[in-house]
Formats: sequence, C-alpha cells, structure tokens
Amino acid sequence: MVEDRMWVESWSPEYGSSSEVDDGLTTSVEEVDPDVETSSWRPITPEPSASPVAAFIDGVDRVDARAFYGQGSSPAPGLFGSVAAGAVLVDGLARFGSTEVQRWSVFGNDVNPVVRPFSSAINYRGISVAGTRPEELRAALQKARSRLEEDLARRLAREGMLVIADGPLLLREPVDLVGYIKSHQKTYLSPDHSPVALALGPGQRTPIFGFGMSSHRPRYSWYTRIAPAPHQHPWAAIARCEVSSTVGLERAVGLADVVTHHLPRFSSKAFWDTRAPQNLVPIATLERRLWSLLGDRELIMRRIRSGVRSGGMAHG
Amino acid sequence: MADEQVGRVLGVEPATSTQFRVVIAADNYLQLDDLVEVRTQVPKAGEVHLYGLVTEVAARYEGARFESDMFLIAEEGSLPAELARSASVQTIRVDPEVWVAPDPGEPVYRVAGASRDKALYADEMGRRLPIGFARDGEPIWVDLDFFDGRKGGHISISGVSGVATKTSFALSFLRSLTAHPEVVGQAASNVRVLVFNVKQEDLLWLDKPNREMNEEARLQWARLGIPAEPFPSVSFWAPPRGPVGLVPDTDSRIEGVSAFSWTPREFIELGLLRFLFVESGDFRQQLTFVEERVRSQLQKLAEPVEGRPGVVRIGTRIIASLADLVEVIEQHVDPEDSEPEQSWTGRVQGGTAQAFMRRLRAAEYRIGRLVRAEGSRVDRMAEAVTVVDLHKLHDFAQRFVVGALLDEVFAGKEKTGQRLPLQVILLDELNKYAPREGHSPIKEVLIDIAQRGRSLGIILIGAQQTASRVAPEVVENASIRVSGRLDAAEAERAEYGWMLPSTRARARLFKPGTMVVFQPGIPAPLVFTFPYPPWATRPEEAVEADPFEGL
Repeated sequence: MVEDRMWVESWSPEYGSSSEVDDGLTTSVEEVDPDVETSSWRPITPEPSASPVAAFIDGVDRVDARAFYGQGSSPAPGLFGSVAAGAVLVDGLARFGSTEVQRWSVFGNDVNPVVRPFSSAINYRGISVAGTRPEELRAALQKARSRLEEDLARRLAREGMLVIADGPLLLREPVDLVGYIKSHQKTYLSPDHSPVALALGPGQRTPIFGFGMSSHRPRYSWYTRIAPAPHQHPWAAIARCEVSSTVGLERAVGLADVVTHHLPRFSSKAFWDTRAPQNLVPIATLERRLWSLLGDRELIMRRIRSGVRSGGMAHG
Repeated sequence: MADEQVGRVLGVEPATSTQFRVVIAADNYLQLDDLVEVRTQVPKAGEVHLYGLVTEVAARYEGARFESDMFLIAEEGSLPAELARSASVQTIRVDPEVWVAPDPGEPVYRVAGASRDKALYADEMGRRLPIGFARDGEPIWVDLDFFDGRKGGHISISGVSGVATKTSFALSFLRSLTAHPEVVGQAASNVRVLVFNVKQEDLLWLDKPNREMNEEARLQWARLGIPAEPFPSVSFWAPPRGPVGLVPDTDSRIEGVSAFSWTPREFIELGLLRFLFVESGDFRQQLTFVEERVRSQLQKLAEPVEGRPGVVRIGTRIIASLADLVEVIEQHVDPEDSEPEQSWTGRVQGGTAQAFMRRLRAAEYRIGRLVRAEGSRVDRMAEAVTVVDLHKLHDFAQRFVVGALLDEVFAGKEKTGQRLPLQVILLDELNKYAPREGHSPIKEVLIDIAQRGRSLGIILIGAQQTASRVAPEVVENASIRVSGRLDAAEAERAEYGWMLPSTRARARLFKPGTMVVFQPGIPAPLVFTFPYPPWATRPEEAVEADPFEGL
C-alpha cells in the first residue's frame, strides 16, 4: 500500500527536511564508538526523575544591511548585522531569562571603519575579516552570535542550571550543557544500530555513543524520541543530543536520562509550530522573542542609510 | 504626596488624544474609575498634562497564540509568556488645552492631591460640595453652581428600586448641603427642603440617630466635613386619621408628627380641585374642561362665614367638608331633575358631566379627610426639612397632595420673584407625577419647575426607576444626573447618554450605596459611594432620647 511507503514531511517546506533523505543520511566522517555505555544496543527507558531547573538557550543573527567601504573601483564589501541570544528558564513554570542584543559591522579586506552610533539603540561595533566573499562576512557575524550564546550558556551552567542549547554543543567544559540537534544531516550509527533509534518510543533513548573522541571536540551523544510520530518519516520526532565528554561517562548518562525523561513535555504540536515536534516550545518561543528584540529590519536599514549618508562612517 | 507611577502609555496601537491604553507595571494595578495623568512633551507647546479615567482593564499572556497555550504556560510550564496587564483610558481633561495624543512610553501616574483636583476639575469648581468617595477613597464633589441655579439646577436620580438607594443619596446630599454653609454661601441661609415620603415610614426618623451607624461610617462623614448626626431641623407631616380631630395617621411614630389638611375655603381659593383630575384620560374626556368651569364658579360664589375661618357659604349651603362641596357641585353639574347649568359645565354632553361627578365622588371618598374645617396646612417654613408622609394614601390622594404642595411652592415663589431662600423639593417616583406621555396639572407644574425653577430658586431633586418614562423636559433640565443600579435594558436608553459604554455595562452591577454622577463641569461620569446614614431609616434603628434623663 502507498500509505506504508509515503509520508508528508511535518516541517514546513522552507526549513528543508528534518532528515535529508536524498541519498540516505551522509555517514559521519568522525569516528563513532557505539559501545561506551553498553554493547547491548536496545532502547533505554530512564527512571522518572524530578523536573530539573533548566535553561533553554538560543541565538539568532540577521544581516540588517549590506555596505561597501573605500574608494576606487573595488571598495571593500561589508555588512551590518544584529545578533541576539537569550534563555528561557524552566522551574515549574517557564519564563524568559536574560537576553542580549549586539550589533556588528563586518568589513572585508581587513578594513575596519569607525561607525558612529546611528541612535542610542542602534550602535554597530566593527569587525574586520581578510576575505571579501559574502559567506566569509556572514561567518564572522555567526561567530559573534555563537560567542554570545557560549557566554550565556557558561554563565547559566555555572549558576547550577541544566542548560539545553538549540544546536550543536557550544563548550568543551565539564558543565551540564546539552546540545539539542533537531534535524539529521548525518548518521552516526551503523546499519546495525540505526534500527534501535528508529524503534524508540517517546521518553526513550539509545545507549550513549562516543564520537570524535580523538578530535578536539570529543562528545557523548544519544538519540531520543520526543513525541509519537505515526505516518511520518522514520526519523521524524527523533532528536540527537550531545554533551562534552569532559563531564565523564557517569555524569553523561545522568544527563541523558534526565533530558530524555523530560524533553517530551516540551515538544511542540503540528498546529503550533511549523517544525513540530522537534522544535521545542520554549526554544520556538524564545526564537520569536529574539527576532522581535532585533528590531524592525526595515526601520533599522533606513536608519543605517540615512546615518551613512550624513557621514556616520569615518576612516578607522 | 508624590504621584505614583503605575505604568506607561502603550504604543503598539496608536494612542489618541481622547483614548489611549496604559500597560501597567508588574508591581502595581489600575482598576475601573481610577484617575491617571500623563505628562507629554509637545514640540513648541511645552508640557501638556492629560488626565484620564480608566474605563476598562485587561490582562493577557503575550507570546501565547492559541487558546490551548494556557495549559502550556500555566500547567505544563513549557511555554514562557509575559503577563501583560493594560488599562484603557478616556481623556477627561487636557491642560493646557492642546489636544494631542500622549507619547507612547510616557510614564502614567495615579493622580493624588493637586493632580487629582485637576483631573476632577476641582480647581475650576466655584463651590464644591463633597458628596461621597471615589474609588480611590478620596472625596468627590459636585459644583453647587450647577445645583442651586447659578449656572444650572436640579438633580435627576435614576435606579432600580431597593438597591439603587436613590433617596438615601438625595438625603446624604442634602445633609452635606446643610452642613456646609461656607460652601453654599448666601443660599445656605433658610434653605427649605420639602421631602415626600412615599415608601413605608422610612423618612420619619431623619431627626433620630441611627444606632447601627459604626465608627467607620462616622470617620467617613468626618472626612466629608459633615457631622455624623441626624438632621437637626425637621418637621413631619402626615394625613389626619379619621374624620375628626388632627391625629396623624402614622404607625411607628406619632410624637413630633403633625396632621395636615386643607380647609374647604383653602381648597376653593387655591383651586385644588384641578389636582383631582390628573389622569391622562381626563384631558381627552374633557373632564378638565368641566373642572375649570366648576373651579371658577366656586371661586366666584364662595363667601366667608363669620366666626368659622375655614368654612365658606355658597348660596345658602355651608360648606365645612369636601362632602358638602361635592353636594353643591352636583346640584349644578348633574342635578337630579333638571338640566346641568351651562355656567358650570359649558356645553359638554350629559355623559361628561356624569363622569365628572363620578370622579368627584370617588375623590371625596379618597381625599375627604384631607379637607376639613379645622384644616392645618403643611408649614414648609417651620423647619429646614419638611417631610410629608404619603405612604398610607391612595395613589390618587398622593397625586393630589403632591400637586397641591408643588403648586403652592411654585405660586409662592412666583409671587415673591426672589431666588433666595432656596426651596429644594425631593420627589421620588417622578414617572408617576410627570410621565412621558399625556397631560396633567402636576406634570405641568413639574415641567414649570424644571424649566423655570432654577431662576425662581426652586430646585427639584427628582428620582425615578427609569428616566426613560419621565417627561423629557424634566429629566433634560437636570444639570446633575445620578444613577444607581439600572436594569440592563434601561441602561442602554438615550436618557443615559452621559454614561460611558463601560459605565452602562457596569450600572447593572452597582451595589447599594454605589452610584455614578455626571455634572456639566466634568465631561465624564464618576462612580462614587456615600457613607451609611447617621439618621435612622427604620423605627428599630432609631435611638430615642431617654425621657428620664436629667431627673
């Protein structure tokens, strides 16, 4: 029957797919060690545990305007961008924690013009990069966003919270920080082990596997199902989590159990989010808030234009 | 007292000069009827102060998009949301008068002290008389200029019977009036108040302290600058009991109550006959036409009787009672064995004359005891407050008494032409005396008072359950409008156009003692409460003086 072999992607099309299935998942180039927790692979149901004091963190970045600087026929390309990071604290009820917005101007060719504040709230600090390609400029902005997220994650983790970050792991320190990866671009499991991940029920996880253990970012990781997903792609509603291996295996198992047990509570429903169920409710809400904190892009672009025209940039 | 900041002007949607919203600070609140101030900097014009009245408050979760999000927020704790509380404000004053919208984000202050006076136009009131307390527990005032005839006059009070406390408010207002000669000024001396008691014997205890009055109420009266004491100067009048003598027909109280009546001579001279023909059909049936003829005949033919001041002679008949009078009239209007005399009836049909007589005989039965040779008219001048008890009288007799007394007041004032001393009239059930439809002599007097009483110094405090059923001339001429709880359908009528939509919606929920007042000086209705009365309203409440005291 067709129904058995066809499904509709639950994510809205503009996000691509929760699983890039074109050629099957690309196999990770990093070495994977499936036997760090146990060699008997089957779904694990963690013991129920008390709700942890947790913080979900996320960041956003946006190019507000593109610009050029310099004289002659090849001025240096640049951009004005805004980044923000923030947290949702969960302790019984969820509430917004601290948020921060930064604005950066990034110029190529190693030029770093001084940009005067366009207004008290719109003040760009300068970064220069050697290259001139748009993605190089963009990468510098994303790096600024990552730094902001890292600082926030470190601060919250040091305050004793379990920090769950949207996306891959940010820090290599032995803190309670879990990276939450909601889409699957690579497979880390061998064909022997994959069926175990696919057989997970909500609130279950795979055994922990190590990977990149000999790289500069050794991690422990596991798959977990956060919601039932009938009539969906086999990998739908399955997320991958990772922690730094510097926490040690025992602590990693503890974190995996707590996170696996509690994450389903935060999963979203299809009517609620276009990337349901993996896009967690606190993170989706936080992301919307961060976008709104960046301010209206049209308005900011207008400010930048008029500011630059009236001599807002000086040679630095 | 420094003004307390309660929130900031909302700019998510446009703020306008007449209406804007306030987002309320997390550690504060605003409720309906609170008064707030915003100071906004206007280029070239300088600082403009907007004063407003909270007409609605709202609370919502920001960030929630679906109704079921409430469970995620409040039960599951997975969805973060900001609790946003806001208030809608109606501008009631702009100072200086530069009509601009407040800047979004400007701080909003709860008014207090001088800024509260500004918001309530108290700084512009010529003579402000406290009438009760606003929601913030501070006094609110009415401008007496709009009560005693200088700029306006009359009060109209509406509300459902029993819970609207219309009479209680009117009395507490009068108590304030008599306690504040310094505010009332020249008009304060010799103010005379005529009160009609239409329900039980509620108002026969105005001069007795109320034993249920508590310390809190005492303090409230003190804060209004009014001694928490009963009315110091009251006279009580009731119809006489039985056909002879002048014993007042009251149940709970006889001491200090006088019986009132008119002599046949007064009845004729004052033309009181017309107040026996006050039903709306009477005019249509030409009964009033016959009445006019008969009235003038009686005035023409009546002669005094020596040694009997209240009695008259018509022809050979001595008239010492209403029965005597009816008999004489019958002889002319509907004689047994001859035609009616045209000088008494005009050219009306025989049926009309008979209908006239039927009415007259019925009247004789109902008000006969109010007309007697030893008549004793209500002395409105003896005390500051004159209470006339009508509650035991038939509807027909009530209208006769009200008509006769109102006419007396009006005629007296018209004769002197002096505005002072003021004569205040407190009359409940106005819809009965001045109904929206139809003609009657009482309605005419009331419309006269409403329209011209202001300049003659006759001030009407009229009360009714439903203003929509009272003659519009009477309601519209009242400068000050007050309302207690209203029936939901009534509140939607045009007569309450002075209320804000939010006031109308809430008028059906007012508790006894809560009312809303509108006066020309303040372009917004203000909700207020007034304290528990220090005078008794029932015999059980009355504290009697100890008769053996001092022995």
